[in-house]
Amino acid sequence: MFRGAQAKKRRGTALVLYTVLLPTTLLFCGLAIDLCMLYVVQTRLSSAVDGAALGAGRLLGTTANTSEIAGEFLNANYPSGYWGSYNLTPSISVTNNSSLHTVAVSATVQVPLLFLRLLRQQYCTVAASATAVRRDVRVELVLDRSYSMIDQMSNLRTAATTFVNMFNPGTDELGLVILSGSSFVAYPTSEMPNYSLTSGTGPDVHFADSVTGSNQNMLTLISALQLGSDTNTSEAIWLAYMELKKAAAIDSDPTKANVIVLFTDGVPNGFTSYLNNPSSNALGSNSNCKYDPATSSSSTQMNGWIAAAGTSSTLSFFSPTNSTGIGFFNSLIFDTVHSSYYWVTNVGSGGYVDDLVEVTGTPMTNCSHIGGYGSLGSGTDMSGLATIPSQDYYGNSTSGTAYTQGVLYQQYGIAYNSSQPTNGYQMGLASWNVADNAAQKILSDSNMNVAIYTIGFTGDGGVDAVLLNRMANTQSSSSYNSSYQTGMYVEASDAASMQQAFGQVASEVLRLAH
Amino acid sequence: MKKQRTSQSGASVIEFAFITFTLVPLLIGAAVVGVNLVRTLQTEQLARDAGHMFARGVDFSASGNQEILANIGSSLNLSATAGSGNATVILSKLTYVDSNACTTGGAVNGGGQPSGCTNLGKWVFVQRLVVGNSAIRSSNLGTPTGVTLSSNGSIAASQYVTVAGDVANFNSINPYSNVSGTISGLPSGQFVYVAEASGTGYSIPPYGVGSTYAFGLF
Repeated sequence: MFRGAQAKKRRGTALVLYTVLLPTTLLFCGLAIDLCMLYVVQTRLSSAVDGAALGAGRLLGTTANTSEIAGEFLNANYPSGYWGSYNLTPSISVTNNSSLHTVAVSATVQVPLLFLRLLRQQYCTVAASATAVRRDVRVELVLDRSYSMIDQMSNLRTAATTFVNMFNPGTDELGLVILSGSSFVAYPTSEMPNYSLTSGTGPDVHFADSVTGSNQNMLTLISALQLGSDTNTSEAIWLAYMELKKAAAIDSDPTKANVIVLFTDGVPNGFTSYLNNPSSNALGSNSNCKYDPATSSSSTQMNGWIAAAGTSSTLSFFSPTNSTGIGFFNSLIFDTVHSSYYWVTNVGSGGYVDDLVEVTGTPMTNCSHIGGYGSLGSGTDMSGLATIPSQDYYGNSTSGTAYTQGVLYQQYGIAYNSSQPTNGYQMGLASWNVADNAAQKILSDSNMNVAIYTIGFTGDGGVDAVLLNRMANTQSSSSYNSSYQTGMYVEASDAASMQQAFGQVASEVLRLAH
Repeated sequence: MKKQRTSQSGASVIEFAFITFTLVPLLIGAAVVGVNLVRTLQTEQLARDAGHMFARGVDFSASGNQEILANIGSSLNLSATAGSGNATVILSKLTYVDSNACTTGGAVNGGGQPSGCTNLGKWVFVQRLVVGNSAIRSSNLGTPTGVTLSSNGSIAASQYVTVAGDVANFNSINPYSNVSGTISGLPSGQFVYVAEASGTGYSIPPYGVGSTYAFGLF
């Protein structure tokens, strides 16, 4: 009887329990569904404000109506009625503090609740926010037009033009340095004539202004760029650095990002020198130069660029045992006729590409055994040099030990010996050292905080990735210093990848500015 | 006793059947919805990350960068190998064709005015890249046709200002639709980067969805 009653009581218990628990289960299911909906909407809204901030952030500092554009990006990124949500309310603010521009995007949206209405809650407000910051940038673009670029000049012009077009005229400052045997500042054109390291404006915001008369802008200069001769990397980046310093001194705005972008297709093979520098005389007694270090003055300085000589595209002139010597050449002379546009567009003839002319005139009075190689490839007497100059014209050392990581040393394994100035291999090592030392000195300037980006074109016989990584202070560099600005090294091997490399670097520079 | 046992047995069956017919579909449905919800979130995140990087200049035609993207989308089984995997990412770079774009594309007359610039006033594809299994979904923006995509997916200016098949279906998500005539202060030559992501949905019939989809404009 007792067991029968118990069994009778159990009948339908599960159903009763289920019936009782069902509302609770549904309530929790509803809670989960509502929370999931809120989470999905919040994710979408967060993505939308992020897109709005980034999309509009690119235009910060321009004349564009950044607030409105951010709002439009937000609306486009957030589909109307997404998961039943409504009342999208954006809040967008743009602040311009000197060269620092900020767009802050936040938004709220109301999401109707399905199950939690049982708790008299009709909707829930979801919020998200994002901020994009852009610094105006000051960029010196350094383009290698050495002779090995003969098949790539058109591609370079296209890629460099794309690069320039990614910056904002009127706010970003751009300048152009041409890297060749004698490197020079091509833009602003006002730097020439009478170029000096202490006068001029440095990169400016007018790089894309309309061309009037003979005043070229940076884009027209790039589009007209012609082939040059050698690879004086150290002078090019040092001029770029000095240009940045000039501009920084003018606007005294420490918030602007200072950037050098170096494109090159080879390894350095020369540098600019002051041979009879009293503090680092390179002349031997057999040079017989009248204006030796003891008597030299500004008008008798033996300035010019020296480089490993040769015409071979196979770089055999870097061979320690098969060197064709070195040459000593005029730095470019600027006057009313020989403007920067002239030197940019000068195609030269008979070996006179970018003024490939031996140094002559007053400073060379009485000199012997300081000849250079006349026309390309025919080595002549440079035995008047006793040593490779210990520093370049700008005071950057030609010695060091890092060169042992470079491609030249890795190929030949012969140590640097400055007492062999006419050996193309040794000149190559000195050129490597001075480019590296110049870059390290630039990077160590804590007032300027220059970031260096390097693009190496590998399709013309190869570049020295070790050197370019060191110059850019990348994290894979053997000399990486976390207290310096970290740059980037990008390789390109053809026209398409060259275009991509410039685009990638521009994006990185702009990211730096964001 | 015998009668009682029979009676209890029947009740249990009825209870079990009743519970089964209501609770099991509920559980299966919850599981399917839950999995697809997770996939939706993963797709949203994938579109966001891909678009972010794309807008920052990451070259997704490079295999290394495609591998990175595949890792980001690994939860959706995104593969860097074309045609493989269960997800796809479609990257589009768009620009608005104005008179400057016509000049760039060489579609101007001797006076420098647009001439033969048939895409003037339209949004066009400048670049298109697809990573993963393109069979999963096609782009809401359309697919550029009649133009040549370079190795990095870019399209020459001379083509994007003239080829009708390169016009993007950008009306539904046009960020500048509220301004007539001009493009709302957008400087000439600027781009809009669009990332679309899609993955195969999870289903246990009759529940489930065919695919998940998300996009982002940057």
